[in-house]
Amino acid sequence: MEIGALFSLSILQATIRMATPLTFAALGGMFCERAGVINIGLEGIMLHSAFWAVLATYFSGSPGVGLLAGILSGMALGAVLALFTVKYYADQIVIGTGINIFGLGFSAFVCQRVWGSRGASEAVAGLPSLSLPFLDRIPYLGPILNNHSILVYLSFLAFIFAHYFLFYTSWGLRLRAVGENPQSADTAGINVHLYKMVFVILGSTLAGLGGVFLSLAHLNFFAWGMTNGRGFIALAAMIFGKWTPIGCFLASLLFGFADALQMRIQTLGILPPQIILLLPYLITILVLAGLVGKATPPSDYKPYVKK
Amino acid sequence: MKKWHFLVLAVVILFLLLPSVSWGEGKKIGLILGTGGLGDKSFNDISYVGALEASEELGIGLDYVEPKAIAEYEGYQRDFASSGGYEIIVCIGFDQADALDRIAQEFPQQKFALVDMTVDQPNVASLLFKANEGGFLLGIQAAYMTESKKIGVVGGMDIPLIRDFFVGFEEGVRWADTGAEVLPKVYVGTWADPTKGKELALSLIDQGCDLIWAVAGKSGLGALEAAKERGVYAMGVDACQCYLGDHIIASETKRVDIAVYETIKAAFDGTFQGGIMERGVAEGWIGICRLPEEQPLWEETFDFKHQVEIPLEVMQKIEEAKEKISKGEIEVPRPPEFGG
Repeated sequence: MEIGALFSLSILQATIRMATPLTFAALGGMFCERAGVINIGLEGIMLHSAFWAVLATYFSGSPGVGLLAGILSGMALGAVLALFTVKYYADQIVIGTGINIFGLGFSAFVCQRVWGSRGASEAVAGLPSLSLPFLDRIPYLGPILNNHSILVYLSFLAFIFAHYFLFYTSWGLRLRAVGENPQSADTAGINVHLYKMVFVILGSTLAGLGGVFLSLAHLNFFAWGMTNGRGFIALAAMIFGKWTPIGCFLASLLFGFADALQMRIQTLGILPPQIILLLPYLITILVLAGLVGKATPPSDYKPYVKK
Repeated sequence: MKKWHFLVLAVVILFLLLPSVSWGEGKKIGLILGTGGLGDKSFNDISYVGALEASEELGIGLDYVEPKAIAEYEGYQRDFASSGGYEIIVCIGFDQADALDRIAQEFPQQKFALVDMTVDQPNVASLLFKANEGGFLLGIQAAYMTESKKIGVVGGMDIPLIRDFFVGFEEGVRWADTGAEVLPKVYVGTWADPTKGKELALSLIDQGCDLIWAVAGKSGLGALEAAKERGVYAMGVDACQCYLGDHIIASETKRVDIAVYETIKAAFDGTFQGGIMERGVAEGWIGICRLPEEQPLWEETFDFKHQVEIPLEVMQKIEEAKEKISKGEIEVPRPPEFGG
């Protein structure tokens, strides 16, 4: 293979595919943290949604139903996280970790019952890709952006919407206030607990979409543990993106690119694979330690107890 | 409820949980499966087939357990061994080795067998497979079936166990001498990330590969899916994976069923020996699922059908290589860690 192939079209298409689950999860994590709740359970939420999406598609035959099931699963786990951390002031890390462990155990258990195997499900119908003729008219960018899964385009819409919502609407302003200073927000008459609940659930739902992308758009089956740490990488992307939607998106693209690049360098056969496989993690450490500057969280993440 | 009620209940539950041991009768076969459990259409299912065959032929009982986590192995091994009701206890999968190393020392009179890993104890038979030889046969088939003359291989991790497959495969491609080449090998870095497996396979296909071999566990399922999506051939590993799609034309098979069957029989007719039992193509422990002697197992016992016909001349070439390996005329290279 030529070095030139590193800069081909396919690497950029792969970048977008690898970035999409991270974008969803990073945006999801961002909404939770903007509301003052750390969502360490992104990984488990993604895995759960990935699983439910395949399960529902398997029984209904329709990936649309699967998508809906994945969304509902994200909402349900988000509701659990919100209920315990916002209403009952439970420790966010403990509940999040619980969700991660639950995701692994539950999917293995049901997988065994339904498909007779703990490892992987049977193949189901996947979500369709979208071909947008108008994109092809854009030179260079068109072929990169075209013919992706509908969830890829949804992730683009999600980050644009999130940016507008957070910085250009009064709800966004209130959400930021709830995270930064719940006391003042409460004094100003904002229902702090309601805001926290709603946005933890919304954030978890977004993370769930990232899981649905993995199992129903990129692939068409569920494999145990298939999220493989993406929930945690998404947390890194969120911090790297300084808790802004555009930042989350660009950071996800960077991590996606690092992965796509790593894969293509492997096919060059010039470096030992162990070193190349380090690349995405190296980039993560470098950007988090060096380039990002001071990352100031949007909240102190303490449960808000109304006085 | 009085306290002794609890005691009785506890004892009853304890007995229910223990694997059923029939005292007084002859000793049985104990089988401790890997964490993948039955239904994996791979190692565990095929080990069970072998144990069942031995059990039926010898007319002796078979007890098996499906541990759910690596941490459970030691408990099951100790339960089986301490009951004294088993002539041999067969442990499936390399990850049982650490636990077995301890238990084998605790019960030096108990015979054990371990699949796919070495435990250096006199009462343990370590059943190993010459994966390089099966890779060689598969490589021949790949060399003939590729049209673009470019073959891609996706591994789970760059470790000796996996390199053993690939070294043989590359040699097989060279031996067939059809002008086909294997592109630099790529590795997912983990066994459970089919998303990355698929992307790696896609990047290989983008570079002109029209045949992908995946040796990467669940990550490999993604690579096989990539081949399906792009309409190119693929090959599987461990057991016949042709049920995953018509595009999968063959799989290298570790015949754990035969290894388990032979070891159990040896245990019951008194010829059991501890130590390393490493077998390959000659003994039928390694093969590919398209060989005439294997096809009935996969198509009848497992009901996996093969759709793509393999041309007669290719099969003849594979048979020729198989014979030469068996006779020692071809020596398939191995990685240095395996004495290559």
